[in-house]
Amino acid sequence: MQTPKPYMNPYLAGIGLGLVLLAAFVVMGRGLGASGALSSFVTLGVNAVAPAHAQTNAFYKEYLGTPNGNPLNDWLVYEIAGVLIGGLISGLIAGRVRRTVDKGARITVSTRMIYAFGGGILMGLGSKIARGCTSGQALTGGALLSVGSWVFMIAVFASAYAVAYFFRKQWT
Amino acid sequence: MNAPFYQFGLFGNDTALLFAVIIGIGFGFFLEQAGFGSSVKLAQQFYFTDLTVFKVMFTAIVTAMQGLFWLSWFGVLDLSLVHVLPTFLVPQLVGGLVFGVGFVLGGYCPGTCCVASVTGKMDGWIHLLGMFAGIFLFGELFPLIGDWYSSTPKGEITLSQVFNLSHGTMVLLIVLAALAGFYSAEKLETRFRSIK
Amino acid sequence: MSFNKILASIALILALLAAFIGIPRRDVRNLDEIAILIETGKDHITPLELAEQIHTGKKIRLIDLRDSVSHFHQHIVHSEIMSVQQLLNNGIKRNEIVVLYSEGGIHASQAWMLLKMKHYDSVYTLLGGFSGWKEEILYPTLHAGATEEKKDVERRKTLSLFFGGEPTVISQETSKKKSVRQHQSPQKQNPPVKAKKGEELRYQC
Repeated sequence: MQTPKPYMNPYLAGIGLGLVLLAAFVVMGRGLGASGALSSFVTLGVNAVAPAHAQTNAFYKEYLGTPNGNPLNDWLVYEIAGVLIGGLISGLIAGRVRRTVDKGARITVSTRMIYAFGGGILMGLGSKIARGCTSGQALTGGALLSVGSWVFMIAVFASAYAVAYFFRKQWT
Repeated sequence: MNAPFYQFGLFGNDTALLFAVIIGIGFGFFLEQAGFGSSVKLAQQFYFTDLTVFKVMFTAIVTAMQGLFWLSWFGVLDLSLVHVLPTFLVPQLVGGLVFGVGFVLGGYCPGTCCVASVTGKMDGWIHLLGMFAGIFLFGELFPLIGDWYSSTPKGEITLSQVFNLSHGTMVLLIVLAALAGFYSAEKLETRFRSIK
Repeated sequence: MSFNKILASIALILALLAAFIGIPRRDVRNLDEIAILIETGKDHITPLELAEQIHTGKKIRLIDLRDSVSHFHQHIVHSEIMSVQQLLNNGIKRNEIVVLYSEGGIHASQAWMLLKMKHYDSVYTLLGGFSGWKEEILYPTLHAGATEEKKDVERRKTLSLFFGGEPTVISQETSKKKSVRQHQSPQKQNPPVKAKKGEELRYQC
């Protein structure tokens, strides 16, 4: 297997990302997002198992869309499909697509998986409470100078740095 | 030219979804190129050994922010039609704090986790499952916390309004902060890498 | 590293310029463009055109610039009352088709000028204002027979009734005035009371 190519200069990657975000503003008048698309999938699942429950819950109802519409017929869902394609293209070009578990040397795979799942739960909760994630709030709202987005961004870094010490074994 | 194109009805909903895929491809491509498909690389941000997350994020914000400013000034883009997310101060602060812990634990954020998954990272898939569980949990809790979720509404407020500065001055301040941040980031990386 | 420094310098120069400019908006625009719009009549819409377009379901935002007394007394269906100041301060969006009307039309034209200066491109005034609307749509006198096509008269009668008006049809043969009035369900809150001459002048702007 070929050795993976080095990552792009972070500032160049940042400019590329910024231009993609700008394109979204110019074409659609809206920014990027990720957690919104995940909510559509969760709503789809809940609606399939318990439609009555999904109909009465204000949160799911928002993602259900029009009465006979499909929750997946949403701009962010298509955007996240693009993200998967784009990520795969870049990974293939750079020779970075391989089945592996990313973790520090000092923990086992199962510990890493437990952490990943727990982190995912917190991230799902946090992004919903804050109305967006790093894409929808930090990048999009950051560029638009939205106050809430900057508050969110500062809170993310503050709490991450505050707890980083306790999880250092996982990463270093 | 009238941008945002969609808001001026230059194309319909189906074309909008096509653009969603194209824009998404660009988004995913640069996330992966930056190295955000690896949780180990992402997490180094919090141990000062690799500050790529900060560099990429702030370069992207500065680029898009300047782009918005200048396109608006050239009369190409109508800023009033770009959707600014409304601010709900306390929920966004608390959400950010919870999110930050999740970031250190899981190593990914929602967007990067998709890129990681598709390039074969098994922890990315588990993280994705965790996020579905978290969103489901939020959905189930929503009837209880709905009121709090909508508390401290501040509307579509921007930093320039809060600090009573012009849009351009706010842009300058953020660019200055970002450049100072990049400079420190380079210094910090060299120092912490040598310690290690 | 020097490449990064070039990027940083570009960002800094652009940001300094941005701070110097302050607000990212060119407020002054080519006045000739506006003059041409006025000369070619692209600044207004006639009452009949407006009525047709609303009737066919076209999305138009109607702004009533008269005072609240006149507005609540009688107004065009679905129109919103707004002051010129509210209108200028993000009352409308640039991607909306907006029709402004005042009693006679002068007030609306003034507001139209201001909006054009601020790059609102799809704004129109209602020709003849609300007075013109009453004359053409709400209480028109239609001559059936000789000059106008029968279909035309029927169409205008439908429009008038749609907006809660009272069309008067004069047929050629009998020369007898016939007031047509049918159900007025959507206009209950908006009774078409004919204003006295003096009263009407007061609202003229």
